Amino acid sequence: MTIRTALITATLVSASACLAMAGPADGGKTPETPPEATEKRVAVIGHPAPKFTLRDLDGKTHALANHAGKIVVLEWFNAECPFSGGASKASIHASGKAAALRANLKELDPTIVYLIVDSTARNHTRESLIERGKEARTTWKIDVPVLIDYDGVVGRAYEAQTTPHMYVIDAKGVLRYAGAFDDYKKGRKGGDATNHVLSAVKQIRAGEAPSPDRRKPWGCSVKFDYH
Amino acid sequence: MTAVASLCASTLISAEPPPVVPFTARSTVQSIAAGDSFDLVCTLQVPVGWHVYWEDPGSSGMATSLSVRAPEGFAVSTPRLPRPTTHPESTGPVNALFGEVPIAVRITPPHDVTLGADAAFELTAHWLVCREQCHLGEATATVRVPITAAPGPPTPAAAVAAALPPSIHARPDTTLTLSPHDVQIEGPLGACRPPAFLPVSQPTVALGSPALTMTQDRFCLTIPVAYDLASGPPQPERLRGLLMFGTQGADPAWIIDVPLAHARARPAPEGETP
Repeated sequence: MTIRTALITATLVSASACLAMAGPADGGKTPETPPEATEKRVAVIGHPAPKFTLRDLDGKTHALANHAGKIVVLEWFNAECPFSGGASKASIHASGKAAALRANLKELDPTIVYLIVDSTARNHTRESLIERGKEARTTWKIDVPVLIDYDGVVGRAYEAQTTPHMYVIDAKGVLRYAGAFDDYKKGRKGGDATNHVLSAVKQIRAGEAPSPDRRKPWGCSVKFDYH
Repeated sequence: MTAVASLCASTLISAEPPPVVPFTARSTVQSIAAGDSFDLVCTLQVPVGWHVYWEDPGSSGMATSLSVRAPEGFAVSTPRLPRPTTHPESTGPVNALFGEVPIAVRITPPHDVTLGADAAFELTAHWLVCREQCHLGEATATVRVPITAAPGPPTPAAAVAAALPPSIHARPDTTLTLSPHDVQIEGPLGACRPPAFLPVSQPTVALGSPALTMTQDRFCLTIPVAYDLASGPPQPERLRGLLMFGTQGADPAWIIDVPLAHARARPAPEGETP
């Protein structure tokens, strides 16, 4: 194989080219609303987060609209996924990383709302999912609401891919970050696994747009029902 | 009573024990010699119905990885995995590996090895095996290979390693042209088509949709490249992935792994002269 390298010398890759391909890394500008964002009500960075109302493990109703004026963090969850609520050293709950994030967020801003969403349907009835969620809540000392999205409507609206998959919504209800919980690969190699959610919240509170505003999420696929 | 019934349902429905994934490791030669490269091959036996993931898992999952602890002075290359199969998940396609999954890693002994001794290699694999649920797996195996004056004959593992995708360097009639905004891969077309590139994603490199042109016997694949330098720590950006022909798992594929040298020319911070 021959490798030819063209224009290597002192080539600066412009930020605009980067942004054009990577999507709106923001900089404070809100792009025009793509038609699909409103028609399908999907989650788009820089646009209002899809509204939802879900019940938690105890049957209490939670509506995103009720948290207007507060930063909201959403965490997609599966009690059986080894990266999420499973009993594994890679689990953000078993390792204490999720609890540490919640504590850090609370210290940063006591009004921040942290909601866990479980869209798992495969291998479960709604009742078994709730029971499994309660077990996980006790085991991992989860002190925030765990919302049941058994039909997967909210998970699909947010295009949640993995457990965990994290979202940060600002006080105006605009989605500002979507993606990975932290830098898993770096953390696994013993490095500093920067928590992207905490970084995003800090930037939002500083009046900045999170950069980057999306990170490829890692984890198990969300086990939506087959339909 | 209801609570008891629910708990039973939970146990019965959700409990899926982790599958047994046998792990073995072998050398491709019976003995090794100074400076003569050889492969270590480990194999995961993934049970029917389950899958593990390629080095870029796709929309979800975790890359299957192999680390090697080798004696001092031995060079260890990046592991080679089989060509994956696109597997539909509810959240998007994943790059899955099924059944017997061999992983090979090239080892090059130093020139000052001690004749008559054994070289011991510790291979550790990590994987995520999924079906309706996912389970993390980890296994370690040690391979000991005698050091001789000349390399020994091949073992059956040599054929396994040879069946894995080779480096694109083994395809001299294919040209890779790197420019700041795209990568062009050109070469002859064989019987299997169309060609496609399956990348290993990096946080700082965004690859666009490839444009493919084909004549009767040649192809050109142009892949737009952009750099999102804010998205990751400074690291040598690379173009890594599989150049694949045809659509079946057994069709030919070559590993591309080249540095994107120009990406390192990052804009200087404000106030600093480049």
